[in-house]
Amino acid sequence: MRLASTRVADARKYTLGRVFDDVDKARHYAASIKQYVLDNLAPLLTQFEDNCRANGITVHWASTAEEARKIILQLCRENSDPGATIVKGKSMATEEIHLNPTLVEAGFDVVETDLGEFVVQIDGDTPSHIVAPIIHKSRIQVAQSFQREKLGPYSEVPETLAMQAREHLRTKFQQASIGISGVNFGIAESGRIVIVENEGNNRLSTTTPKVHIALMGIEKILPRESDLPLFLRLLAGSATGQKLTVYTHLIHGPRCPEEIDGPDQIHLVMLDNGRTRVLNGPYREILRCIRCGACLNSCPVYRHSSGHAYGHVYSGPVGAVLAPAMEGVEAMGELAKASTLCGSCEEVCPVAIPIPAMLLRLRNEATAAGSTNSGIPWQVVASLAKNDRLWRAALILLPLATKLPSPWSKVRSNPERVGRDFRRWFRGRP
Amino acid sequence: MPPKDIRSLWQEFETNLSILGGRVVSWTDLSKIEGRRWCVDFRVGELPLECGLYETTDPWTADVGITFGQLAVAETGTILISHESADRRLASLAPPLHIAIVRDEDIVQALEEAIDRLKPCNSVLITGPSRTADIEGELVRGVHGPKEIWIVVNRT
Repeated sequence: MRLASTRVADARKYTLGRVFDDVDKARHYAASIKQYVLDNLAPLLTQFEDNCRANGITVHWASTAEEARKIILQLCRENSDPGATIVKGKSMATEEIHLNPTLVEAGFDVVETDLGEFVVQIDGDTPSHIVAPIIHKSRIQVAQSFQREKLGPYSEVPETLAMQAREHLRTKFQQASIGISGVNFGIAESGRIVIVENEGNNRLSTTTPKVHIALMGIEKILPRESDLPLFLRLLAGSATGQKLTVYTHLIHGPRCPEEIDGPDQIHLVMLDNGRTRVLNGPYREILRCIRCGACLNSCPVYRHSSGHAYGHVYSGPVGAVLAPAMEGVEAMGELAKASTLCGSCEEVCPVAIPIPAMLLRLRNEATAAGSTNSGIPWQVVASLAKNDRLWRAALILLPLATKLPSPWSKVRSNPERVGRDFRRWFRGRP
Repeated sequence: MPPKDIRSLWQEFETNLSILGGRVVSWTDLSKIEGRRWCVDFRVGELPLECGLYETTDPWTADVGITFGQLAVAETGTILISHESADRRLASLAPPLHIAIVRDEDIVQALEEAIDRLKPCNSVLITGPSRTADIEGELVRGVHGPKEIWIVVNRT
């Protein structure tokens, strides 16, 4: 887990250093473009919608997750038979609104086609990283899952497993009536929908079925097509250390009558789900996020605990701000403490989001709202920490504390004592 | 910086595409592919492709998909495919080998130049063969899209 994150973090630095003469300049320029979008969101959304409509895309607006699920369910019912196959490309927005259970309950055969999301689905699990959903799984676990689902003879070789998934999913692509995807960028000046990926499953999901439904967070706008190259490079470099993703779909509209492949209809569902509220509040810069996952990979807390520990679809530093900003400090304020405030996230963020400052502010808000542990045990610790002798005495008693029967001590073990007393050593130095 | 000449652009393109596992091939290389089924982008049917390939209209059972590319981007080893009317999108997606034919003069250095030339139709930028590293970060090619991509430079 830690190893995987570190590898991608290193790849990110290497690639961005080669692609850009001045990475920081590029990041800050991208930040200013995204900030411009946030400062002018309403007129840009109007421009985007008008252009999408002119291109033949039907645009729907959903204020809440529930509305979005309703709209998508309705579209699926209107355009396919009961029990029909729906293929899905990887989309954090669809995870955010918990779309799959709704469609499954309505009787649809919903199939995640991104390899990582496919494994998550067959395991009844959730993704632990916004870009690498099964970064927490080993090949053995995947092999066992595939064997359980009878996808082929048992193998722990990633290539073999991937080919088994490919065979299984190829049938689904051909059968599917509906394809659902997210959107990475929506270009206001042309009404173009941009989706990036490496596997090709998103392309298949949005080409073979007759209806394509795309779910897009309202903040995912870029003003002009000429803004794309910068963001495509930053996204690929920051997410996986690639120069560019393998596929960049520049979707203009449904297929023309003479075309053989391509959807007859494209429905774009614009998702608010708390974004406008965040936009009007003190954490608005978090909406610059392009979902690259670089902050996750560089965060010492994320590397240690992995995504599931955050208890929210968005984890890592971005999740620690987004979750309480969208769902309220009372519910998710604890996440602001899941940070050492080292600042690594802000340094790697391709749109320079000031995450540590926001986390600090969130902590204050959470404490004021009473949603963090500032009760008696912590007050005791605080007074001990202010007194040198008391603190050192308390340290001697620490091994006892971890033996107490409490939820706190259950998940903690004593750190090993290595070496001597630091202060004594320091005083004794030549 | 002076604009690069076409040959050095194609050199840069080939270097960047090879790193990703793609190839730049010649017409004679195509003629060496024997006995495989191919599916085309309909406009390609106009080209005199004499090789041991026979045509099929089903991209799912084809071994090779052949399409045109609007242009190549040297900086990243990318090709831009614009789906204008009567195109088969699946030709560059379903078969395990995708061959894209790009005219010699249709090459640019930077991504910006490619985006500048976007047409008002569905398009895709393809940078190398399909890949994933979802399982333990180990690279696998050809998960859903093509495992191999060849570019033929069409010099008339």
